[in-house]
Amino acid sequence: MSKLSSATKIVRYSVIAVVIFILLGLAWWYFFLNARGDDLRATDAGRGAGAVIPSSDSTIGSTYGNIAQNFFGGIVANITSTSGTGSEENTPNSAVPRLWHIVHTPVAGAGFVVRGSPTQENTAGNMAVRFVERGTGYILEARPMTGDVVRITNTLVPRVHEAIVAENDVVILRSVNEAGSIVTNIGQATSTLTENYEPASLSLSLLPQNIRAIAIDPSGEEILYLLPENAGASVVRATWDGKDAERIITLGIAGWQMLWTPGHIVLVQNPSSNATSYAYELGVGAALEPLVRSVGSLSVLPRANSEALLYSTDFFMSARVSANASAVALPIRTIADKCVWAPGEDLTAYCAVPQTLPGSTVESFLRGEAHTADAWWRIDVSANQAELLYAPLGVIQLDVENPAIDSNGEHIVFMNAVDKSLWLLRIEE
Amino acid sequence: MMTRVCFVRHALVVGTTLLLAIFFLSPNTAHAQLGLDVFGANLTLTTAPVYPSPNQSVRLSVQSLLLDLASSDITWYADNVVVANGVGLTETIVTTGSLGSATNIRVEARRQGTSAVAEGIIRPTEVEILWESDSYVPPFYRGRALPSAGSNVRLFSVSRFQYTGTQSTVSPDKLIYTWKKNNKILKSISGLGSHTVLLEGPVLFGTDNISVEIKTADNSLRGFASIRISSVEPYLALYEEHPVFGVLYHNALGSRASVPETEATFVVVPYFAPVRNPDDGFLQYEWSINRTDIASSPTHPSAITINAEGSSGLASIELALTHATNFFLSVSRTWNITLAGAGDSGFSNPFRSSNP
Repeated sequence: MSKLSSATKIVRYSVIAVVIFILLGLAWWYFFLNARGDDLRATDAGRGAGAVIPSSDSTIGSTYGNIAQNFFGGIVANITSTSGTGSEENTPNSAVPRLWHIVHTPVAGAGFVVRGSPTQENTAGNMAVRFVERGTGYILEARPMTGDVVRITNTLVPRVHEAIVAENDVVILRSVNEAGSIVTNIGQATSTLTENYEPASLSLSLLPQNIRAIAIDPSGEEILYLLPENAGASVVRATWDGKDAERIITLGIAGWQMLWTPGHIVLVQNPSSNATSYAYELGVGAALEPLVRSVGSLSVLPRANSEALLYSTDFFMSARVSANASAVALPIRTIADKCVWAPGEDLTAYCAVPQTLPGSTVESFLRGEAHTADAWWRIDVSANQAELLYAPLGVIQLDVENPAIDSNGEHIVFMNAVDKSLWLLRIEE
Repeated sequence: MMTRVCFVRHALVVGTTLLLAIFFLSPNTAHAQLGLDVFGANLTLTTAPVYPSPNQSVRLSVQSLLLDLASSDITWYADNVVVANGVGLTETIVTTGSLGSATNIRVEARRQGTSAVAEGIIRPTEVEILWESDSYVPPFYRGRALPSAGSNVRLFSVSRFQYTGTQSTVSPDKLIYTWKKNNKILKSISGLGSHTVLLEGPVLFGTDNISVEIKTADNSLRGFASIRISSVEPYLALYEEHPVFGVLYHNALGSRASVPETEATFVVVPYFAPVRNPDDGFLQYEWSINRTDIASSPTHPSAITINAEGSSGLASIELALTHATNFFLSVSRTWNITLAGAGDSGFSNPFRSSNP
């Protein structure tokens, strides 16, 4: 009997010991896992998990809104809130200067759009500057009369190098993929301030890869693009969404710039300081009709619905008032790419003129090695006279590129090639 | 026998006399379309330029080996209208018409009862040669791709030939092209419709003269153009590759530059190198930073990432670029870049890099 009780005790104590060991093991495992979980949660938090989605109180929510406001002083646009109480009033904002630095961050392109139905009394008030952020591909609108800047799309397209904005809200976004190929997307951003204060998605169509140059007709309904081929390149014409594509001419070389103004489709051969270039107008039957022949460092600016033409070789500007007229030298030293024709009957142009003539070659400028510091001039082409319109303050270096003028001839929007920021000049004080 | 010989002798004399009379007493004429020298029996008519374009001033010249033109009365006609007349007037200037026009030129020289005439037709044409190289330039670069040693040059001839009385120009595919390089005919690429050709580019430091002569099948219209193409050395430009904005092609870094980042990625663009992309497998990148050799990335050798944390922030970046098979490609360059090194805290302007 005693033996039996001893055995029972041994078994009992053994079971108790096993249970205790199991419990200790489970406790250790629990605390070990918990500690690992804390590490994982800390890592996830560092990656943004569980963080509040940055919808922000601002309608910007963009690179501009996140960075520029916090780190740049000076002229900053007013931000319209998304409270849904946006006003239709076009109250001039005295904080918007004559030269308005719309955004400090790099943009890919900009253009003027007309929102709503312009009235006779307020055509300028319905005009807006629509631009594309380079880093995100977001499309924003800036209103010159009020200084408001609002984001209208939320479709992310990273690293947009070039963008074209058309009057009918069509936008072309061009970027480079990982393989180094040019990717071109096209879409229509129809959000407007009056209809929807929330950014909308942008539906994009993909055009063929490696388009070398592209232009959109002034109404935004058709596009022309240059597609390289084995023996040169083809000029293709299509509707704005890329449909109904049709090859209209084959060219033996692929290095062209394409300009589409009302009444003109112009091809300008890429310039070089080592060689001369040519400019042609695409005429009836896609025939190449010469506009400018054998000119070094050529840039051209045709005039809408007119035979007048500005062109430059290096920084020597010339003008032709009609197809049969001889070219005359203008009293300014700049390039045609820095100029815009004023709307209307008068042969008036506005040009950004370097305040100091650069000694660099055209290749240096195109490679981003040299920049000019420009002032704006008004040129009466008929009278061959020029007058200073606006010279920025000495601390501001403006190397004007991609200028565009609104249909009223009151504002010029342009990019600064130094940092790809966006500016707006009110022509009259 | 003797009678037959006399008859033949007399026939020969009479025949020769008649031929000479016809030759010397009648006006000598030469007909051709100008653009080539017109060699008549007594007069040679030339134009300058040889292939005139529309609405262009053309100098007409007449020469003769047999006649003394200096003392001859010379009359020039354009479309049967006298445009110039005078003793010894061996040159005159006319203006061509528009594309599709034809100007009949006639010159008459008279002296002491003898006269000579040369005629021709000037039909102006236009020919231009556009060219570019297939060397490398980055996306969205708006300049011309220039040829370097080992690259090719593509030539595109734009011509406007128009027959008199027609409204449209002759299709370039129906014209006959004769291409020459340094005065040597390139038979393999010449021929009907050869308006676009691909040639080897000039050699290192070399210059090529390229010309094209174009004509219609009936030889009635002719044109000509020539150009000179010089090779260049590939050029290295360094850019920052921003994580948000991509490669900042608008702001090439100079030999001395500063970047307000502790860590930055730089990309070199070998402008005009005879390759399709900067990471071509035949390109050999030899990077060094502060005289320390750095191995290039096997997949993206044109880029390099520098982290200046814990250092002075000054990086002397040297790059030597060569080609595995093209021994003429050898370029190098040095950039002294100052990054934000240790102790540099806070957020700086990421959108500008200053080049002092």
